[in-house]
Amino acid sequence: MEYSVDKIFVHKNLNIHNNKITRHNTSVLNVNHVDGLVFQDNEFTWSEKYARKNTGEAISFGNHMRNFNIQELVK
Amino acid sequence: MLNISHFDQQAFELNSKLKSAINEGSKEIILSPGEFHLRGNLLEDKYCFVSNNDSGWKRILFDFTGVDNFVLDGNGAHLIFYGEIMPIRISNSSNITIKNLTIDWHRPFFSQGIVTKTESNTIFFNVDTEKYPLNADTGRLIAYDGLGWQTNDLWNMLCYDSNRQEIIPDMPENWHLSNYHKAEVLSHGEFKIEASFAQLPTVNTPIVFMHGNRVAPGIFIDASKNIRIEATTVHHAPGMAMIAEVSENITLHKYNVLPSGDRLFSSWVDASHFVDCNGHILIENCRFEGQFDDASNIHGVFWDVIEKISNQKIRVQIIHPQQVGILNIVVGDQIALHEKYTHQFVHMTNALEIEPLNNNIYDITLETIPENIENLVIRRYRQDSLVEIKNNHFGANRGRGLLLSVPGKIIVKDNYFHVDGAAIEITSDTKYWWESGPVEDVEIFNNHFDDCGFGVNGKVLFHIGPDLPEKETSPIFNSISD
Repeated sequence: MEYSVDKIFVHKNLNIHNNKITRHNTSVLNVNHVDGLVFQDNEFTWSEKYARKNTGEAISFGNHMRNFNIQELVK
Repeated sequence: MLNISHFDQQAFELNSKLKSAINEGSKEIILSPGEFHLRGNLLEDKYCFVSNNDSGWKRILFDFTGVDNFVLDGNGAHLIFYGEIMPIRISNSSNITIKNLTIDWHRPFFSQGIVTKTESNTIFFNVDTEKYPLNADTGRLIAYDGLGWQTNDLWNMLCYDSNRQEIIPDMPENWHLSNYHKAEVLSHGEFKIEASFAQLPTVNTPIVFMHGNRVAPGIFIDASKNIRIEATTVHHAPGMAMIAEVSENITLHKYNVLPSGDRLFSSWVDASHFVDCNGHILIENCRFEGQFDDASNIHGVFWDVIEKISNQKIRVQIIHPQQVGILNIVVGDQIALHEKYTHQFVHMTNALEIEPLNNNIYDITLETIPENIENLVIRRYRQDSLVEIKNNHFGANRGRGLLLSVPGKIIVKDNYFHVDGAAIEITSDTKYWWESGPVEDVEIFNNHFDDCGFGVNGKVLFHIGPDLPEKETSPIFNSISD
C-alpha cells in the first residue's frame, strides 16, 4: 500500500468500537483525510450474499490517513 | 363539512393566549388535551431566515421571541395544521421547554398512492383523495387541501415495499419529476403520470409523491439557549421537523418523528438539524422514522473569502442560498480559516467586527489574517460543545442516519439504526451544502446498525471524509482491493 506524501488531515480522533452490525450488505467503512482512527471490537453479522473474507473489500480508504488502527473485520 | 373560519380563529386564540401569558409575566401555559385544528389566515406575517429550509414570510402559531423562562405544556394536545404555517418558533430566547404536544398536518405535503398498472414511462395509480386531494392541470400534478393551500411543485416519487413498509431496497428515486412530468386524472381517485422513470414499480407498489418545498419546519430554534423539547411527537412538517441554528444547550428528550395513521412518511426532510449550535446538544430516548431525510445533521457553515479589504479585513460570502441571512458568526467568535479545495487548516483568529453589506456578503475584521487569502473559507470555531446522542431509535427513512461535523466532543452510543443511507456520515463540505467542518473527537460505541444502507442514499455504513469541490486535482480516494 502506498500513501500520498503530502497528506492533508481534515478530521481527527475517531473511535468506533464495540458496535453490533447486522445484515449489512455493502462496505462498512469509507474513510479518508483522517488523523487518528480506531475501528475495533465491532461485531459483524453480514448477509450471506455480501459476506467478505478480507478487510480489503469491506473497507476502502483514501491517501490522506495517519495513525489508524483498523481491526480485521471477518475472522 | 370542515369549518374553515373556526380553524383560523382557533389558531388566533392560541397565538393570543401565548402572547398574553408572556406579556402578563406568566411562566407557563397549559393547553387542553384533545385536537386543535389550526390554519394561519389570521396570524401575523413574520420574515424568518431558516437555515437549510426555505426562508420567507411565515405565519407562526407559538412565537417565542425574546422570552425567558417559559414552559409550553401541551398536556397531550394534538395540533393539526392546514397549509403553510410554522407551529413553533423560539428566537432570541432562553430556558424554554416545549412538552406533551403532537404536531401533524391534515393534508400533508405528500401524497400516498398505490400502483395499479405500468406501461412504457407511465405509471397508473390510485390515491385516496379524501386524505390526499390531487388534481392535474396542464399535465402538472396538483396537491391541494380544499381550504386554500395548493402546489404544483413535485420533487420526487418514492416506491415502498408493502411488507417492510419502507423504501424498496436499491429502487432509484425520481427527482427529475420536478422538471418534467405529465399527469392526468382518469377518474375519481385514479391517475396516471408519465415521466422518464429510471425503474417502473410493480403493480400494488405503494408510492409517495413529495410536493411543495421546505416552507415551514415544525419547531424552529434561532439564537436561543437552554431549550428543551420533551415528550413531543412531530408526525409531519412541511420542512424539517426541528431545526436549531446558532443556539446553545438544546435537549431533545422523548422527541419523536413518526408517521401517523397509515401514512408511510413523516416529516418532509430531516427529523432534527443543528447549525452552529454549541454547549450541550443532547438527543436521547427519541424515535425517528419515515422522514424524508436524515435523522440528525449537526454541522457548522463555511463562508467563502472573496476579497481582502485591508490587512485585517476580509469580505466573505454565504454560498448556499438556504444559509443566507443567518448570522452564524458574531463579534468575539474564534474563526478558523481553511483552504477551500482541501479543507486544510490554515489560520486561527478572532472576529473583531462584522459589517453586513446585505444578507449574504459581510465584511469581517479579524485580529489577524494570512498574507494570501486566495481560495480560503472561514467558519466559526467553538470547541466547547458536547454532542451526546444516546438511546435513540433511528428507523427506516429516506436519507442517512447521523451527519456529524462539529468540533468538540461527540458521543454516539446505545442507539439502534436502520436507515436508508449511510448510518454515520462525518464530512465537511465546500462543494454543495457548505456545511463545515472537521471533527476532532468522536466516539461511536454500543450501537446496533441493522441492515443500514438498504436504499440508494449511501452504500457504506460509515462515510468519513470531506466533500471537496471538483477543482481538486489530486486524487483523494483510492479504493484498496486487497
